[in-house]
Amino acid sequence: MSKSMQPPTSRTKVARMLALVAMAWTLLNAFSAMAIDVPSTVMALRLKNAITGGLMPSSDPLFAQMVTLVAAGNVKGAALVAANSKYFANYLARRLALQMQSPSLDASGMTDNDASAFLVAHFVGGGGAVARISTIWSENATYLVVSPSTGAPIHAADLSDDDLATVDWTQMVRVGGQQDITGTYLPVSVVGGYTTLSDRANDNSFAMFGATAGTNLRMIEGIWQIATGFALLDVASPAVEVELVPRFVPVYDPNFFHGQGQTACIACHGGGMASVGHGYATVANVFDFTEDGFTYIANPTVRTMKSLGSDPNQRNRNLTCDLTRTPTPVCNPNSFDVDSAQSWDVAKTWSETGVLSAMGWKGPTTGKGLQQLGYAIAQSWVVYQFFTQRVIGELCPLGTFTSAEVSAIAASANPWADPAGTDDIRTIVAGVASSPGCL
Amino acid sequence: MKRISNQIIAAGAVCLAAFVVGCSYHEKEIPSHGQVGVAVEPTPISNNTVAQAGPTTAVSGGANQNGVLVATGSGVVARLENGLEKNAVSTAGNFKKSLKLVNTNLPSKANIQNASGFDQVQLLAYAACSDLTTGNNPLMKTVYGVIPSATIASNQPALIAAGLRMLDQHTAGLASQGPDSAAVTTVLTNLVQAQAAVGTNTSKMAFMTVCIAVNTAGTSMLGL
Repeated sequence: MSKSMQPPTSRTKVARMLALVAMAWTLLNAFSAMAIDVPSTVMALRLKNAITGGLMPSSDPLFAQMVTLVAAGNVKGAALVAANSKYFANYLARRLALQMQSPSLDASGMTDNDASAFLVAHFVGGGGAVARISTIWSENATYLVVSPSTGAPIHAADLSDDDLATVDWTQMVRVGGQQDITGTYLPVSVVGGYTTLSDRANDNSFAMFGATAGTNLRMIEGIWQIATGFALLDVASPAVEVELVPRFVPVYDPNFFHGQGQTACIACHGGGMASVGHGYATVANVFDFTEDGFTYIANPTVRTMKSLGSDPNQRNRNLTCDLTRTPTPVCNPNSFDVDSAQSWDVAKTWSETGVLSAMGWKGPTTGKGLQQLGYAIAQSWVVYQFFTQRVIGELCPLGTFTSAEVSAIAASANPWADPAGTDDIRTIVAGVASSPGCL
Repeated sequence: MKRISNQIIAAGAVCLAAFVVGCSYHEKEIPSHGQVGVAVEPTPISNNTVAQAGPTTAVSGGANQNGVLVATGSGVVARLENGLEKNAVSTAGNFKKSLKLVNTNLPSKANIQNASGFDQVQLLAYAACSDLTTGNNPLMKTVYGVIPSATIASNQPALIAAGLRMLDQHTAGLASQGPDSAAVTTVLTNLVQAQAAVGTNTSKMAFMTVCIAVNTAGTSMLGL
């Protein structure tokens, strides 16, 4: 009988038994290590589905990282992992950007364009630039996306349906300057960040929304509404000089000074967002959006000046504004009309009526041109507060946040605050998502 | 001499052209660095503390329970793709065709109180699942182990496993490993057995039933 065929001794038996127990113990440990951490997984799932819309698969290593962070009690860190991922850029950042193409802030039916790409780049950084809320209304640049099919930088509106499904919005190319539809570069002073970007007709851009109408009032109103979240009547006041009302608003209308069953015309056109002094001059006569697309008007003529009314054939009559003529021209003879240097002075009316305080205005109150206005707007607290409100609406619409908490989250992103915030919307996203009011 | 005068004339023409272009104020060249207006880095304003902020409204929606957040547009599409581990994608097959038709009807609001379009999720799930059943060697067989030509009864374990596998993608494994995993298995078992009880049903139909049910639930999971 060979040695290997001999029956095991009792010592060998014990050794084998111990080996089996050890193996079982190892297996048990392995299983318990694999066992799911239910509370942390549920929390991480909620965060990733809210912040990335579910675009992040649970098989992505980033999700495992989120679960680990939640398990360690770092919910905000887990939220930041989701917010810093390409999935956030492709979902919520893009969604917020598409919403900002009109004051309705509704992404339904909106399509990607240069303006929305510019916003996504400012939300997540792109083309070598860091994420920056503060220059959304002022940076003079155009951002192109990288085509998944060809690898070439293209305009966002050129993405095919298939490309759209796979494009990575964190990969952008920054090109200096902004052009109108004719290829003319806009002078820096009239640049308004994303609001002056459009490379084609019918692109659903903010420029299309704002400059298609006959007077461009929608453009300046839209800039204020989208930046601040205020409605027209929130900042309107009838206690204002008639000279600040645009030329095309008829001063003899029975509702001009005192509204009868409606708000007085002068309240919005003179004391509100549509006032000549509150930025209307920066857009009125220099932009148009025709069937060809967005146009910069370098040398306005009476016939092209939208500040004189929507009908080009009546603009000369409105400029003269002789109320003794028949038929009576539809105009305001006392109007300063818009300043050819595109001056603005937001302290007029809004200082006395408390609107500037409500906005937490910190920039200069006077300036010339849309770029200066856009840069000043983004120095206001209200911009960061309204972004916080919008993010709450996206992540936890039925959550509970005190106004102090909203302001505190806004402060964490406000780069003009003392101490300085991050200028990054992902800070707001993580702050909202990890707030007890949202969990 | 003639050559020099030609050069002077040419230079003059260039200057004149530059002057005309300048006068028209139409800039066709890429702006110089100074003109580009590169984003200026913001600097904090001294004493601009949060106390300087204007009033803002509080948000009070009551208890923030699961079930208040809706997957919108591209979120719906991605959740379906993820649930099916990208075995069906929105850029091909019935999924693509169907998406083109229902895209604008998908939920567009994240707030459940304002959202609509949930029915479209089910239609998309139907289209995506059907892409797993086509061809001689369909993915329902190669990926999920459900044999199209076999009976539902013989495919029952594979059908239940397929449902669990898909639901696990949506829930990060909670379907099979969470506290309610037994209930999930029971639901899937009942669903498959109900399909088997109808004699004319095929395994392909049972697979579609499981796939649509699980992915509609997973994609529409509100609050997650």
